[in-house]
Amino acid sequence: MPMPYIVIRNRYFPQFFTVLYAHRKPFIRIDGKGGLSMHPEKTSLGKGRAAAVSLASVALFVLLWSAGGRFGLFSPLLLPPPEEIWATAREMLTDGYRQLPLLHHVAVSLGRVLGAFIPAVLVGVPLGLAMGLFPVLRAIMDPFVQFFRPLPKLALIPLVILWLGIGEVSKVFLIFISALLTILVGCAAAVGGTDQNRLRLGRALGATNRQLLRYIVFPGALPEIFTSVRLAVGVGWTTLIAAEMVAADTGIGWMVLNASSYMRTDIVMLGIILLGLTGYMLDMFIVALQRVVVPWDGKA
Amino acid sequence: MTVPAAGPAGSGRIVFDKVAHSFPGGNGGNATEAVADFSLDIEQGSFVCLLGPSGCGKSTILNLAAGFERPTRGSVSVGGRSVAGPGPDRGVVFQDANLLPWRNVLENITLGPELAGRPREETLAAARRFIKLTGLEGFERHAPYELSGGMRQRAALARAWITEPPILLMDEPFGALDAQTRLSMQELLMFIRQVTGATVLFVTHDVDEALFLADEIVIMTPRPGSIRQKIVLPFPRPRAYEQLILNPAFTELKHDILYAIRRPEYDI
Amino acid sequence: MYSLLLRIMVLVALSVVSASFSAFAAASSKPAEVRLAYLNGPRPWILGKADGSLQKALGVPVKWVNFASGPDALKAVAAGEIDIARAGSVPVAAALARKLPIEVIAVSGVIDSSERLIARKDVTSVKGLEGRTVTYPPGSTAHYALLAAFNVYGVDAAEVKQAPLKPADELAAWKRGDVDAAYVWGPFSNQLEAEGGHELLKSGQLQKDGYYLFNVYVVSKKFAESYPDTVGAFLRAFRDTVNRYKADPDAAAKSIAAELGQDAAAAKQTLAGLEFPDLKEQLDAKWLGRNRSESGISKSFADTAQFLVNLGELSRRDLPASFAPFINSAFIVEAVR
Repeated sequence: MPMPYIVIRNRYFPQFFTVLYAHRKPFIRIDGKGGLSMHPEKTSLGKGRAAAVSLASVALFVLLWSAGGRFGLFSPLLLPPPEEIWATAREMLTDGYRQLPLLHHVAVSLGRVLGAFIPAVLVGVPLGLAMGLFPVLRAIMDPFVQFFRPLPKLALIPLVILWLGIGEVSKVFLIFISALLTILVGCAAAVGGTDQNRLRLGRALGATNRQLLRYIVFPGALPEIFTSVRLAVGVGWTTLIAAEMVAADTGIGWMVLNASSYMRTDIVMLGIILLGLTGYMLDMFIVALQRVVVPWDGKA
Repeated sequence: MTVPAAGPAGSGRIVFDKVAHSFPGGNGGNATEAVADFSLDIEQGSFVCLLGPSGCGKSTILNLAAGFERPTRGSVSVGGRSVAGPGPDRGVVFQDANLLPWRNVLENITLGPELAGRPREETLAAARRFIKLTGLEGFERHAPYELSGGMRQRAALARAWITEPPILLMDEPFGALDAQTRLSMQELLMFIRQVTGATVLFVTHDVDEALFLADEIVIMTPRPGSIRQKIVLPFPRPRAYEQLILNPAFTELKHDILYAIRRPEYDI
Repeated sequence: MYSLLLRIMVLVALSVVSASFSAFAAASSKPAEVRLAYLNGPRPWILGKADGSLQKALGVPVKWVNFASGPDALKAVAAGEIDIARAGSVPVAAALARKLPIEVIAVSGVIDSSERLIARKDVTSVKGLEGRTVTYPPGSTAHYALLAAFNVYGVDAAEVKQAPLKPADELAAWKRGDVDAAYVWGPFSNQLEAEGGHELLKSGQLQKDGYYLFNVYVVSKKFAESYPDTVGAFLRAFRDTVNRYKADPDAAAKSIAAELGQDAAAAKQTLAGLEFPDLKEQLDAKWLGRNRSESGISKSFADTAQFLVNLGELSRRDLPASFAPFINSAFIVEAVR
């Protein structure tokens, strides 16, 4: 009977046997008592190798998807094969979607997300840090933040239309509010998580409150601020669909919604792929920025 | 004693007077008494090592001197003044180097003068001196994460010492280092102190380290910690470790100290 | 190892047996349950929901599932969650072009004044919408009617600012003054009138220019093939509800409105704005026709689909040569026999 994982004896550590291995050398071991331990050098593949494996995994997925469509494993209406999506993409690259070039829709959506995200960072980071620093402010803000944060933003649409109308402001506001709440919580936690020893160090060197903030608290919180900003981009990007439910006639989120009313699953899939790729690129941009600003993050 | 006094006369004296300190218990539980009835007078310029069983409140004593904690009862005074909080007159070296990862070695070392608003040239001159003393030349622009544990602790030492405070408080600073690095750091510490002079209160659990470094060893009782025994060491300076361990008094004292530290547990 | 093989063989044998049992069950005339998709518009068949008479007529449990729009209902049919759905001619034309496995079995109502273009007082003609903002539920019959009205009345669509919204959100936008006109169905159209709007156009006025807007019943192909008798019984029950409505519109509107949680007067007005061609009449070539040949509604679907292609909503390669194969009047024949 086949086992769910590969078990081999490890000749370097006969008391261990290996349950998983990435390539050649084992990287996770299970000992006789059932505890897991990691091989210190084999927890990651090389950079190039990891990229190659990821690429192969995507290629294999597309291949299976295409084959599944060809052999009629699933209805092309429910899951259009990649060839059809490719054909649609080419059609839309030349003709656009609903009289507008495809890239225009991408740009409009990106503009909405950035237009919400940048103010969210400008307001959220200082306010979140202040919440972390002043317990009173935190106590004032917390009930609202915690109430609104898990609330599905779709539920706000009728109110947002009543308050802000059906223009760009409504769409941007929906994204702004989701991004802002994420940043507030992250930044407040970042300050709260300041290492006590670092604060003591600052005090011992004679730092004033203001200096502590500038020299110790803020730089120390930067990695977590970045993490919350990164999360906020993700949240903002997911709120895009809800935002573009509000009287939109452009944008990828709207394109997905509109195409779904006409059963254009091919356009829906194309839109989802575009949403995913754009979101991925936004995330990569922030990660790159993070490497420049806080190169020391995660390095002891 | 050939150590020159750092700072004005008397500014390096630390006095603990019937100090007690307890931590509030979690979830409304009973408070934990860490230190009780602890009295000690540390003269300016002396090197005192605090030894004791784990959890006896050694670090609490140090934190009280640093001003990170306030005593529940009794008083702590430094240079004749009651301690109201941390201050630049007492340099602190922590268990881990506690370097700020977003500043390079030079920027870490100059943090104190920078906070105090000292002139840039003066600061850089002082930094150059301590970088030389700690053997960090060539590493000024390195990030902390690019250094070994010993190098990081050298930088931490330079940072605490650059303003030449009359008092240096050290909480097991070499505990995480390997034996050889530890020894060279101990030698470095004694060397710099020889040059600059300062009162040092040094917490350790390593008896050999205390014997090698201290003028006086203070042994504490188990929690709540108070003073069990004080031993003034008879070894002249400068000391060499290789020579010291051949001294019969070293072995004898080590035996007595270990006995004093471990005995209380056996009594229970 | 042997025991494992044995176990697998037993499993395979069991599944073959159970599969043949379910095939046998499918051949029997009645499904375990009929799942119906209904929308919020007041319609006679809701009478059958209100008093359970529809379930009684079918003789099997009926599950009524509510959807916000026709496209949503059709998506549920595509997912195999719904057997029979009522939807507008526009989403159905799109669904047929996209090869959704469904058949059109009857016209459930023809839109005359149940969907209307309501505008603010200072907009006095359809042409007057140029330079103003109009809202509509995207992908709906109202959306199609609006664009058809642009054609008929010579409105330059590029001059009109278009704001696609769900009906409930249209009302909010109207209250704020963000929109000047809305093409929508009752009860929303009535609410807009109550908020100071007036009627510019009703969908029935577009019929003379060849734009027929109507609702149909569609059934999933699999269900139609497995349970033809149930589909026939469903149409008979539908006809009964229409007859009950015609006999006493006031009482019918009241109980329909109560069932949907709406205002009775608005429901009555919406119902009065619909035409219900008799099932027998629907066998005429003007509607479904007796055979699967070109008929009135297959022509309408073709026009609608072409319109959607011009709009860029459907791809040219989606257009079938004819919509006639998707229209099946056999169940009406069965129902009126």
